[in-house]
Formats: sequence, C-alpha cells, structure tokens
Amino acid sequence: MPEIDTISQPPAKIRLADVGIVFRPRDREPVVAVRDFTFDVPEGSIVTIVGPSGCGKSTILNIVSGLMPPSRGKVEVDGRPVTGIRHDVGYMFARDGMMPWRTAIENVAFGLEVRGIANRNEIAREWLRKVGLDRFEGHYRHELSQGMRQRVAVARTFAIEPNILLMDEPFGALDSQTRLLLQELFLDVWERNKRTVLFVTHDLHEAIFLSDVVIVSTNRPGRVKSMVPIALPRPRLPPAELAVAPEFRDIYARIWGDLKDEVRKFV
Amino acid sequence: MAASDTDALLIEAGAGVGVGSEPDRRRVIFARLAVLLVFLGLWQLVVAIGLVDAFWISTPALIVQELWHLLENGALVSDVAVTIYEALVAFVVSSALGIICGLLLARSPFWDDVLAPFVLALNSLPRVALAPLIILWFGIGVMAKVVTAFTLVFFILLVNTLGGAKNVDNDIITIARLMGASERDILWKVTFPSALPWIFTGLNLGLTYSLLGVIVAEILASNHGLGYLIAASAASFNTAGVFAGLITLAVVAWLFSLIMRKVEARLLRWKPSLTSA
Repeated sequence: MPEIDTISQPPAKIRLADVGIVFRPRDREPVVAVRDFTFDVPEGSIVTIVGPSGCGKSTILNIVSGLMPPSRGKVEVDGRPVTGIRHDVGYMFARDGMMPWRTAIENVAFGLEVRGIANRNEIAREWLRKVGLDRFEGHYRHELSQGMRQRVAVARTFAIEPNILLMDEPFGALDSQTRLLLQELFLDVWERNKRTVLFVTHDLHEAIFLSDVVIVSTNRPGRVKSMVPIALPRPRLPPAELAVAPEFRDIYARIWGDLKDEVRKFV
Repeated sequence: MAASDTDALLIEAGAGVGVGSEPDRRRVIFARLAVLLVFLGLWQLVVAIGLVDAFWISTPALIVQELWHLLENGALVSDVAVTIYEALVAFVVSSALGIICGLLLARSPFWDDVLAPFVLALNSLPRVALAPLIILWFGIGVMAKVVTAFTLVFFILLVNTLGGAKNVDNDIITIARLMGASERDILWKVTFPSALPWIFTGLNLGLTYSLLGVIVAEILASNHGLGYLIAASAASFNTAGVFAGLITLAVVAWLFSLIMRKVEARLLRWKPSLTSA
C-alpha cells in the first residue's frame, strides 16, 4: 500500500523509492549503477536528473518505462508498481529513431496506427503543424535536417498523448543553436497539455530552463545528491534570455556547485 | 552520393537530381551502338575472308536468319514462354519461402544458431551438381526445373533476409514497442521494411539464379525451353541455333533485371541512393 501524502502536496505521478540497480556482466564484477535513489515526480511537472556520464541516468528512465526491472526498491506510476513495458509513455532519445522508410507524417502516425486510431493522419498532421513541419509531411528522413528529425520525434512522442514523458538527452545530438530552438519548442508544446516529464541531461542550462525540480546525481553509483526546486515563473523566458537573468545564475551556481565535485571525481 | 543529408534539403522533394547532361547521354548511346556494330562487322568479316569456318562461330547474318526461322515456326516463342514460366514460378515460390524462413529465423536466435552450419553447408554446395538427382526424382517436366532453381534461390533470399532482419536499428524497435506495437506490428511494420533493401539485393540475385537453375535443368534433360533449344542445336551442330538461343536468353535476362530495378526503385524510394539514381 502506498503511503498517502499530506493533502497539500500534489500526488506523485512517478515515484521511485530506494531504487538500486546492479549490472551483472558475465565473467566480471557486478557494477552498482544506482543506489538508494528516491524521488517523486508530481503530476504535471518536469523533473530533470543531471549527473556525470555513467551515473545511471538513462537506466532510471529504462526502469520507469518498464524496459528493465530495478534490482531493488520500488518504482510506481500512478501509485501502481511498474511490472513490464509500459505502453503509455512517450520516450525520446538523443537519436531521433525515425523510421527511414516512412515519411514524416507516417512516422508521427505510427503510434496511433498500432493503437488502431482511425483519424491518425489528421492527428499526425496537426502535430507536425505544431512543431512547424507542416510543409515537410511527405519528406523522408534523409531529406530532413537533424533538427527537423528531432522535431518529428517530438511530434511523434506527443501525438500518442502519453501518460508520462521520458526524455533521455533528447536534444543532445543537436548543434547548440538548434538545441535552444528545440528546447523552446518543447516547452511551448508542453505548456498546452502539461504532461508529467522525467528528463535526463548533462546540460545544466537545459535542466534549469525546462524543469520544476533538478535532481543532482552523484558519480557512480548514482545517488540523489541534492534536489533543487526551480522557482522561475512559467511560461519561461526563451533560454537565451533566461540565461542572463540574475535568478537563473544563482540557481546555476548552486547546481554547478553540487555537480562540480561529482564531475571532478570522474575527470 | 555527393549530397549530404543537409544538402538534400535544398533540393525540392520529388525533383530528380538530374545531373547527367543530355549531350553526354547521347554520345554514350552512340558509342555503344558503334561498339556493337564494329563487333558484329568483325565477326561477319572473319568468316567472310575465311579466317574461321562458319561451322564453329556462325555469323551475325546466319543467326538473324535462324532467329527469323525460329520465330516463323513458333518454336522460339513457345521455348521462351516455357523458360520464363519456369523461372518465374521458381523465383516466386523460392523467394517467398526464403523471405518467410529468414524472418522466422531472425525472430528465433536459438534456431538460427542451430541451423546456421547447415545453411552454410548447403549454401556453399555447388547446387547445380544436384540437378541430375533432381531430374531423377522429378522427371523432365516443369517440376525438376523449379526445384533446381529453388535450391539456388531459396538460400540466397534466406541469407539476405536474415542479415537484414538482424540489422534493424534497436532504437526504432524500442520506440515502436513503447508506443504499443505488438510483436506482429514489429515484424511487419519495422523488421520487414527495414530489411527490404537487403531483401531486394537477394531478389535481384535470385532472379538471375532462378534463370540459371532453370536453364541448367533444361540443358540436362528437357524437350522444351531455351536451354533445350541451345542443347538441341549444339547436338545437331547448328551453331547459329545455339547463338540464337543465347541471344534470346540474354534479352530475357536483361528484361528481368530491368523490371526488377523498376520495382526496386519504386518500393525503396525512401533510400537516398536510389532516389537520386
């Protein structure tokens, strides 16, 4: 039975309690990737995990999606334990994952197609419009720039109206200007439906710009080092403007202070 | 392949790249005709001046005569029809089974592992050596030809499909699965289209080998088909007839690969290299 929170707090959409993940490669010592990881993602908020490379950030997304089970601890979505692959999550990677044999619109419609939704083309077209690709619906992957491919991925992810969104450095492979535009676009789309988002990145600007809470993870084995609420008003300023605001720099300094030691151990 | 992914954006969708300039194409075709005419002229010449006896190499003029004769009495049309029929039946049946078995093996790493050495052994065997046995079992009718071709084509498609199906991008499978795709969806909407370029490599090869298998079986034991025409002409010292059969065969093979390339270009139009070709 999940313990009930006090009424003032919003209900936890995603909850991890004492999660530990141990990899046991054949013929080698087991690797503890994550230890005692505990946090909540409240309904409708964006929580971002930042941490040094190899701290198990992506692994946490994998256990929330049910792609792999935790070695110990509890993982819950909507108060129910995650037992297998969830079909109600939108998942984005740094790689766009576009199917090269499908056009942009067919890629966006894929999730709707396997769910048997009849008006999938209208929905997909609408989402392509929202990410600014309405003129490119008939284009194949090789005819789109990297930024456009990732915009297709954003449309594809939102089109299925996922219960929760899991983002694994989704803009990590983009050049820095395109990344700023896509972050802004993502937040703009998110503002309209406020899905619950668990985000993973090592880009601090990105984490602060997008999130309600930033979780700093330690070096491997990953543990929660600190949780920093981002009390910046929404809708947020565009990232380039926000980056020069004094309150942004205070938050940045605080998070970087926590993160620096962890990264230093690693370098 | 000069255009990078971003460059491709600059080209309006659908519009071909169209780099090959007109006059160049015409010169190439003209030169090809010239090469052909010089070759045929020399051929006719060496026989005309008595360098080689027409009995051994025939002449272009004699071959045209022979072709005309075969067309007139209807033998050529019926032989071509038989060979094409056999080759296409063998091609369709072997390809379909090869693709299905390839997809099935890709789904079961255990059976893939178990059967791998057998597939390798059978695929390395010069299958044409099986033809006498197959003729013994199936007689001299259509069946023996189809089975001979099958032993060649089936494995080509099996190996290519398996290779393609194992090469599917794991990110795409993960995303598809998380979006609710069933195993069946993954097979037909992800694995199959992803393996299609590999399958087409197999189909191109398979069509050629299908014709090869059929012709070999016809040469060994038959009373119809182009292989029979070639073998029977050679047996009666009719070199013009042999060349007439060979030329017809070359035309059939060329038509086959032409059609195949058209189908491939249509089905794989999402491939960057094919849209600009």
